[in-house]
This record gives sequence, structure tokens and C-alpha cells, in this order.
Amino acid sequence: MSFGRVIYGDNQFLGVNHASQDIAKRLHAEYSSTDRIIDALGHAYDSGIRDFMFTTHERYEEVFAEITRSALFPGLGFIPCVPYAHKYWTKISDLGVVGFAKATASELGYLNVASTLSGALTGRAGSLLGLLLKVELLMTKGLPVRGVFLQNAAFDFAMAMNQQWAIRGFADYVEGTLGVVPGFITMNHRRAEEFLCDSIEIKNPWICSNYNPAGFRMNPSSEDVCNSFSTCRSNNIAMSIFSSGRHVDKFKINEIAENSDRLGIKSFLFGSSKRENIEESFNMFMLKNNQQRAL
Amino acid sequence: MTDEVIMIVGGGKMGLSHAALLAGYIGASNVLICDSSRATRIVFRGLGFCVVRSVESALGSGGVRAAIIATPTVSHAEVLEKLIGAGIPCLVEKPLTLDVGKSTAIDEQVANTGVYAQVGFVLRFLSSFIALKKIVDSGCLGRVLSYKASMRGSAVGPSSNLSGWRGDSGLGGGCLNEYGPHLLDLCLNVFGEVCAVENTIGESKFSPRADDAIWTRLHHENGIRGQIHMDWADQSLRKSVAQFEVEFDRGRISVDQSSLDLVEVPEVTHAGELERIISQSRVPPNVHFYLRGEEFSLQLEAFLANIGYREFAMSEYKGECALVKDGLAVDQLISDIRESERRN
Repeated sequence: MSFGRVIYGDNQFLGVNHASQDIAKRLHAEYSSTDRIIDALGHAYDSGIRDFMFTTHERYEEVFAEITRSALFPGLGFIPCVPYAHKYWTKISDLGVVGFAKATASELGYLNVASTLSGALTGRAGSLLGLLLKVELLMTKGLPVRGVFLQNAAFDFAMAMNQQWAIRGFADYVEGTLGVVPGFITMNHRRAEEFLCDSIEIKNPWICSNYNPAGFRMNPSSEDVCNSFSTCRSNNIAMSIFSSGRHVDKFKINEIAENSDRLGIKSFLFGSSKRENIEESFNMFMLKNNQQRAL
Repeated sequence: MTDEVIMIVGGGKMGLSHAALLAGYIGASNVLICDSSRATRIVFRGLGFCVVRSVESALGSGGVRAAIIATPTVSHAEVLEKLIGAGIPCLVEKPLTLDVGKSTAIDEQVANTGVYAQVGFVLRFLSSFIALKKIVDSGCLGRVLSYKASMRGSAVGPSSNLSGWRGDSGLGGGCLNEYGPHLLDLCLNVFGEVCAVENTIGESKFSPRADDAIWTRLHHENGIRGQIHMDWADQSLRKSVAQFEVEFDRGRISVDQSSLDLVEVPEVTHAGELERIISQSRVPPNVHFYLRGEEFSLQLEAFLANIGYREFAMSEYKGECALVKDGLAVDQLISDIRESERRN
């Protein structure tokens, strides 16, 4: 299983804008409406996009219920990214680290946690993660899920602390139990590639990371990330290609799209709320309408 | 445990954040977590860290190269005194303390011993605020006449548990202790020392013993006037936003964590300099390891560079460290704001 060359993202629906807090606030309010999200998804679908990557935010529960109920967007694949870190961070703020662990165990059922923890201790790490994933993925019930990605807040956290068992457990559960593609979002591409390919020995892992002409969040350096993409040891999804609107070099972005194979890019992930921008970006990444490259 | 570790004192939310980020730089085996709670130590040991029960035990066993203090604010003074007394360089979370007298004593101890001590005013490391300071310092838009500064977010809400220290300003809770240090440090760092505080009004929405929102006016010694608004219970926002609107002789600019906009700039005598500053702020610097925002990584890199990790060299475009004297100035200003609120 694989993903399309163009994947529609959801930052706009959650009020995430790395370039402007005012735009972020406006989007956060605008997309509190289920209909507005479904409208924007419709624009992406009509453009030809068949993959939607999203965070498991409660905002989507109603959206997905409506998509399932009305059988909207046939053929659209769903790629949840877990966990919605903000939710857990707020809980840790309220309860502290130990209180958070207790509250989570209570939500999942102490008995479930005890049996899965003993599974983890005997080498079946996926059992505990599986339980957590089940809860996170409840909202996708009935939807055609193509892959599950680990958010950068969780993946980079686990990588920093060399928690190989957690990443291995996640990958095994997603691939083995759910039967879909596991993926990893990171802001540290080279380290992620080494960690996944060399330390955990996952073959050709899917990695989603920033790739843009401005070098925005290409850590530790633009050159470093370009090099690790181009090794092609991982299946790479390029995100933040427009650098959140900070530095849109149309010529260079088009050049990246045209040379994606050589650069080691399998797919492009972008989010937008306007129909014309979605169509234009899709056409550019699909190398259509090369005479009309304006964004 | 290796020969030299960096110790994180306090295994709460900020301790966890520092621990994970620091592990990304120097490896988890070189990070020591100090917390008096056995349950917390078990959690961190499970995450691969070395753990210790008290600062005294850690200092007794030797090998502590530096420390990051992320305990509740009420204990900062006591922990800092021990660590600085032992010659250990420190990065302490904001605010420095809850008592100007204690902050003054720490400032004096640092001055007498020469031990490096940094305060966690992390917003100083955001490109847009670095650019704001450069524009003010360069005078490329003339003198600053006045400004409005705000910090709003939804850190607490109707379902938050505020029965503990977070809902009690005397224990370090409330928006003035939580948002105030960040915003007020920027006001002091960018616009200079404050000579008077007036018209302070506080409002409690959810916290039993603290303000959830506060409004005040600052008079800076150089004549600049500022209007301040903080609200940590604004449910319309997903995360906290710090914003400045600054009125200059020759224009007005608007700045937040991620952008700097020229609102009205009809005549710019040093257009080249202004443009250079803004273009440098547009894309934040890359960092050695990213976890939860460039500003946290850059703050840590600055600390590491200052305690001898030469590979993490800083530049003026990456940010300026806040020291204990800056923490003391903020604590004094918070105390003055409280006094102004009482007068009202």
C-alpha cells in the first residue's frame, strides 16, 4: 500500500498557521463548523486529491460521522496522525506527569493497562501502544484508512530518548494489526532516517518532514535534510513546501516538483482553504499545466 | 550515569519538556532527573533517565556539570542557592522567584560567585521579537512613542483543575505569574526600565486565588508608555499568543510569535536596514534538534554554549539570554503590578 503523490493536510482546519497568529485565530473559528470542513475537503476531492492526512482532533468526530453517513468522497483515503499532542499537554499541565499517567490508565481501564503492560514487559510492546491507538482511532471507524502516522511531538520525543521499543511497537501494530502503512512525522529528518533505518531496522519507512526552498524547519540545516531525503532509504513526504507562506519561491517549488524522484520525494503534503489555491497546488505537484505556474 | 551529567530538578511538565529536549542534544544517559516523588522517579527511569531523590544527593555523588531548574516557583530560591553555592551553572524556569527579596539575594550570590545563571524567558529566542528589538535599538523608524502588549491563551478553562498551585497566585499560579514573566521581560528588554505602574485591574474567571486576566499601564524611564493585557483563560485561542503593536515616530508595526508586519510606514529613512532586519526574521534559524519550537531549542543551545559546549555557538540573530538580573527586574515589576492592583 502506498499514498498518492499529493496529500491534503489539515493545519487550516485546526487553526495552525506558522506565519500568522491572526490567520490562525480566524481559521480556528471558521473551521469550527463541520460544513466548512466538508466544503474544503470537497474542493480538494474535486481537484483530484485522494489522500487526506489529519490529526485526531475532536473537531473531526462530527465531520467523519457525516462523511460515513452520507458516503461522501468515494475513493478518498484517510491518514490519521496520532496523538493530538496539545490535548495531552493540557492534561499534563492540569494533572502533572504522574497524575496524567494515572488518569490515562483509568480511562483505558486499569485491567487492560495491567495486562498490556505485562505484555510490554515480556517484549510485546505493541500491546500497550495498540490500546492507546485504538482510543485515538475511534473516530476513523468505518473510514478507509491507508496509513497511521506518529506526530512529530511524539516521534521526536521518543527518538530523543531512544525509545526504540515504542516506535517498533507502533510500527508493528499499525502494519500487523491494522494492516495499513505506519509513518513518522519529524522535524529532524536525518536523525529520524538513521534512527528508523539503522537503529530500529525498519525498511523504507515513510517519513514526513519539512522540505522547502527557504529551509524553514529543515533541521539541523537545509543541506543536511536535502542530503538525507536524496539517499532514498526512506519514503519521503515533503511538507511545509510553501514555508507557511513565509517565502514562496514559485520557480524553485516547481523545480522541486519536477525533480522529485531525484530529490527523494514520494509525495507532497499541503493544506489550503481556498479552492483556487488547492487546484493550482495540486496541478503543480502533479506536473500539470506547466505553462501556468502561478500560485 | 556518565562522569558529567546535566541535572534537571523537578519532574513536572516543564521538567519533562527540558528532559526530552536535552536528551536530543546530549543523550538521555547524560541527563539526571532530580525529584522527591518516588512515582515520578519511576516514570523517568522507565523513560531511560538516571534519577536522584534530592539536590544534596546529586551534589554529594559529584559529576553534575550544570542544572536546569523546573520545580514549582516557590522552591526556585532554595534550589538555586544550593546549586550556585556549589558552583553549578543553572538555567532556571521563569519566574525567578515569587519574592523580590529572595530574587535580590540570588542576584547578589550570582554577582559574588560569578556562577553562570540563565532565566527561561524563552520568547526572547523568537525571530520576530529579536527583530522588534533590533528595529527599536536601530532607530530606523525613529523613537518609540507608545505600545500595546498582550499575551492571551487558553491555558485554563472551565474544566481545569485549579485547586492547587496553578489557581493560587501566592504559590506561583495565575496569569500574572504564568504569562506575565514572558511578556514583561520582553517589555523591559525591548523598551527599557519601568519607572511607574498604574491603572491595574485584575479579573478572576476560574482561579480561586489568582487573576485569570489583568490589564495595566507601564511608564518606562525613557518616556515610552505601554498598555498591557494578559489573559490565560481566553477560550477563543488554541494556544497562547503574545502580540505587540508599537507606535514609532515614523510608522507602526505589529509583532507576534511568528510574524512582524509594517502596519503604517509612510516614510522610512533607513529602509535598507529595516528590510534587512525583517528579512532575517522571516525564517527562524535551524536548530540542532527540534522538539517543540525553535525558541526552546535555541534557549537550550545558548545555555549549552555558555557552559562550554562549543558546538552550539550562538549569534545575535538567534537570541539573547536572560540572566538573573533580568529575572529580578521582572519579579520587581510583577510586585509593582500587584501593588498597583491593590491601590485600585
